[in-house]
Amino acid sequence: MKCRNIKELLVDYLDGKLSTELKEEIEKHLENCESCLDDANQLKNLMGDIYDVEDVIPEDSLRDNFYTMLEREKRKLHRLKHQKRYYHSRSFGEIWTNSPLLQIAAGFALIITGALIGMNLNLRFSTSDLRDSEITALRNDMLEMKQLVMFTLLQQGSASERIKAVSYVNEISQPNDKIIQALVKTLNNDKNANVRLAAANALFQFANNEVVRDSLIEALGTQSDPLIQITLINIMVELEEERSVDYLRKIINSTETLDEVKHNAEKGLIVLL
Amino acid sequence: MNKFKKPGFVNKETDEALMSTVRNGDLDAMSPLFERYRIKLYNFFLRLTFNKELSQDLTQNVFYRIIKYKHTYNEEYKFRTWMYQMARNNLADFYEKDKIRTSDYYIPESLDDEYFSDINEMEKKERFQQLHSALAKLSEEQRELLVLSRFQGLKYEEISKINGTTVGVVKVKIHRAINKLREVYFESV
Repeated sequence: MKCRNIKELLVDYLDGKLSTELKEEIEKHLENCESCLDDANQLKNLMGDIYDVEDVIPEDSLRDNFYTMLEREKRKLHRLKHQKRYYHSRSFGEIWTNSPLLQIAAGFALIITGALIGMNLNLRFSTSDLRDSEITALRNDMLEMKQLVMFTLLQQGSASERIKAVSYVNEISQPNDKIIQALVKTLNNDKNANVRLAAANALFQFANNEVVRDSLIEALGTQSDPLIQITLINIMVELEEERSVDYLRKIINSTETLDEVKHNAEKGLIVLL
Repeated sequence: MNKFKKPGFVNKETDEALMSTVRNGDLDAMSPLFERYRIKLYNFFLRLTFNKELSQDLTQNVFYRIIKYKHTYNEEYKFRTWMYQMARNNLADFYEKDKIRTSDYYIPESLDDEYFSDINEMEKKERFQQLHSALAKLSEEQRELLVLSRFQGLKYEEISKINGTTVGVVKVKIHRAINKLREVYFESV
């Protein structure tokens, strides 16, 4: 073999990767060739020096930052799952089947929809002077009627009807102030704990609204039902709402709080602080 | 002792099993992976950028990306290979974003002092300084190949998968890089 070929094999030779045959050939060559032997010795030293290099240990902040990031990502993932479950669990369909008032409303809605279609046709095929504004007005009527049904049920219905009225909010993507006020009022004043619980859950969806957020935080200070307290604590953790910390402390320190609620509040504090 | 041997962690699960658990939504399985690779990844970046703070940030960001892109992980793929691909992309993105290259970062004297602050023996320190100055004189591609194969202990086959080329090409390139480093290193000795 020529020196050029030998030099190409030196790294593998030093790594111990060559067959016995090739190894012996190279060793024989090195006995007689000073240039190749120099290269081999330099490579050996270099590879030894590299091997001796110790890894630098990163600072503790790397670990701290990693675990902070991990907790944040875990919460994000949890929130995502929670939201999915939330939207899937509530079907508005079942409300129709057993509420006479809503059935009547549905009837009205159908009539109005029909009228809307009719007017659209009119606009297209005749010289009717119906304006877009009038169609918008009719659409608003429909929405208002839906709300009216909701408000009526909230005020006059039985507890189960009131719960259904609250969950009706799931059908609305952009609730107006009136709806939000009605929900907040229900959360604060309804005499049935299950209705208040439903209101808290419904409000949670609109937590990006400042009024909603504030009312949820305040509710933490006034609600005494354990189930509602736990729900509100979980909501605060989900929202990463640091302003709730004082209320959580009060709940923990109160002698009237159930152990289970205290436990949840303590866990919440750990996440929020 | 083989310096590439994994320390004896309590968690004996393979990287691949842990990463599959992460992909399925249990992010806690990320902790043993972090403990296994934080030092290796940090030193990977440190030998390519010669900047401690930057290397911490880049290391942290690789773990963030692993979580963010967990759904793209396929367990038939070696976790380590996948992780180093992320690490490379991470560094490439950083250079792209800041329009800075390593050479702009490398200030041999001042940074080396900090870099070697933990090493006491003068002779050893000098040798390492020379080694790293020599390393800094190679092209980025050559330096990366050497860091992966010689400092991180990866096999040629793994490196070829990380770089998307063949084992043959990787082998030839690494041999050339080692010889280039040898020349530069012994020029200065």
